[in-house]
Amino acid sequence: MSSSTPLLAVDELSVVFDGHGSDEVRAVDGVSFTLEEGRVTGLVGESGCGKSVTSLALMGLLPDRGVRVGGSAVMRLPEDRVDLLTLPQRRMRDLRGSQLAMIFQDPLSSLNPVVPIGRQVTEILRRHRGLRGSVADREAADLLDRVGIPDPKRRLREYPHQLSGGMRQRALIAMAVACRPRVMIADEPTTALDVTIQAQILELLRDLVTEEGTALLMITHDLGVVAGLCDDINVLYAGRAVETAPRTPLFSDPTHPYTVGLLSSIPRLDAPRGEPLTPIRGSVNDNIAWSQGCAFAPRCDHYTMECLQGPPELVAVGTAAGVEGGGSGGASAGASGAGAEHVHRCVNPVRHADVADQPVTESPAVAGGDEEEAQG
Amino acid sequence: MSLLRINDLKVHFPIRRGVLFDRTVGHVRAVDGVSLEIRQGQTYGLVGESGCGKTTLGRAILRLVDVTEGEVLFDDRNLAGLDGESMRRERRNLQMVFQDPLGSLNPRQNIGSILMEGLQTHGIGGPAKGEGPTEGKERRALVLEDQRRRVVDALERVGLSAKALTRYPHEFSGGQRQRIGIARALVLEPDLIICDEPVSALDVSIQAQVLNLLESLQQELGLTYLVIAHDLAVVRHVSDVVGVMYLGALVEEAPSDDLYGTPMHPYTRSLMSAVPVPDPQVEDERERILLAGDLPSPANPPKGCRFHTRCPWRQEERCDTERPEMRPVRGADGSGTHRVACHYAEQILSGEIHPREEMAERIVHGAG
Repeated sequence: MSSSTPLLAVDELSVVFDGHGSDEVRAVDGVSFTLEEGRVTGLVGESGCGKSVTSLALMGLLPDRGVRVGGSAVMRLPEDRVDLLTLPQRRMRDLRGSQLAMIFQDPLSSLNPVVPIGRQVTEILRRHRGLRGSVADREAADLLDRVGIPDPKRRLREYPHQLSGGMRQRALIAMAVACRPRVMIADEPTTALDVTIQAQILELLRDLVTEEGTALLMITHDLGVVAGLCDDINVLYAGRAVETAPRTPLFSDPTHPYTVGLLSSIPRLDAPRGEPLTPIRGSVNDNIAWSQGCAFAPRCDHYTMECLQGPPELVAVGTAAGVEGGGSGGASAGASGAGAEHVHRCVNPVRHADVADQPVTESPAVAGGDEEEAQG
Repeated sequence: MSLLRINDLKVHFPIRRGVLFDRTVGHVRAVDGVSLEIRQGQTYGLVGESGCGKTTLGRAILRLVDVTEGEVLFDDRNLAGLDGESMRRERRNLQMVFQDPLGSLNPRQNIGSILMEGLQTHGIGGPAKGEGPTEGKERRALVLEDQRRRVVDALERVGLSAKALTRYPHEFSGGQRQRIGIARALVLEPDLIICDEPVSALDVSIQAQVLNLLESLQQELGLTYLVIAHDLAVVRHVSDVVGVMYLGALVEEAPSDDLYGTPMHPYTRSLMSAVPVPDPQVEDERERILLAGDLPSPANPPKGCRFHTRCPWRQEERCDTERPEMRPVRGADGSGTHRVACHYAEQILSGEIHPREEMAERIVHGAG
């Protein structure tokens, strides 16, 4: 296999949930990105933007009924290529754990409370590597040791409730790396943890990526975590990527108003104190459908009538609006192998020079006191 | 002038064991000797990791948990010594905003009745004594009208309208629910509001809206806040004075800029260095102190300095045996408002004592 094909290429992934009588929900609406060995790709967005559903779709963990999954996710295996979305459950079970692994947000609810940690770790070793008995036990102890759990032999006999939050997350990571998977998906791995423990876990993930060459898909809402860990970042809003860029341009030169809004809403430790935050107006409920225009328009300060003329395309930054950009595939093989270029989905992007003089039109859906209508 | 002063407050929870007899086999020392002072019109931020006792401290001030020992002086009245009924009346002046906005609103009460409840409990509203009718239907109507006006006023202050009155909590989004929680605290016109993790359940864009709201309310109404949170950046943003807690005790306290500019306690230093900054350049260059291990159990806290089991700057003998008291140090501005509970704070700051490598990795990620 040539190294120019990405390890995992997700193309136009969409997930639609049946509405059970009401309208169907397009949780993910055409998301494309690629994962490469030894690189960290980030999916960032607020709750409800479709980032977790994306990971579940890739792992084949969505329920069979009431969900339609579209698009493709082609993964390069040693011998051939497979589309994860169309693979039968039997094949998928072989890949999960050995080629693909996932770390969930809440370590307590993703571990079985009535089974000792040791049994849960050796289960994977038995299923995928055929290890048995004391060999499996020794390997399990090794794994726990590698992720930094002290006294692993004793820990293997203990139950999840006897471990602290950070320990549990380490145990989950140990299970995820047990078969040296080539793709790892981490869904908010540090959200439930304290900052000092978060720093330990992030360091551990970073080591895995650099030493083992694992491709990591990092799903998070924390832009600080993204800045420190991710190489390429996709910002999602309402099920679509609104901006994709390597980390340096994304943070130094964000162009989509949503990204700009997110960055200016978070208080920073290194910013001068006392500056008021500039939050994004309204809430995620104020969206309009992508088919009518930009879903972010009702909350956007840069909104113009142009934004409501149908769905905006994902175009390279600097290209004029409406031009069909080739950026939707994310990575271009030729671009010095360095992953994604800077693309955004906006017809009226933020340009740093004229942030202040952008004409601000009063939004149609959100005006002053109407915020509480959102759910009504 | 201090509005609230806490002297050596302790909250211990008994650990009971046994089938026939409830034997008390030990105590969880959730809060173990905290003294602090909150000035009128200021915001005091309390930070720490989960399990450090910051929430218990907030609840103990309002007497939502029993105080084991110590004083809570509010306007020079000791709340810790009050009986149930007097405390209930006192709570008019101290209100709380809880972390989980859905869990702290009764799903079967509409917003109007949630907000009215406090006014009715405390008998607030209606014409002043000696004016208007003193009893009967007329007076009840006047009282109700006045209470409704106060409720609508509070709702408008937090950015909601009177239309919310007849709705139920589930009809609102997370940010709006938190606004309702704030309105419920505001309607009684309290002097002090204790905010326990006011924004940690909210999305970042909504978080900023609520933080700005808290700030503007403080300016308009002259409120005093005690903000309890685990997010250091949030606490720094809102607070005038910040206290850092570790395992049931304050380890450092200083004016916000001073504390974040020159953290002196080893725990504060490692905590600050662990917070990710949303800027790749800073992330690549900054030095991280990775602490080893987890928080020790508060049922059996380490002897001596609580932090000595994880402290990279630990010195022989004294740190293991003698518990450091909070003492004023000459901070960056030399005003003496910086307090720290560490025997060696000055030596660590000046670089005389070096951290030990095996206790903490110090990591700097070079670019690329």
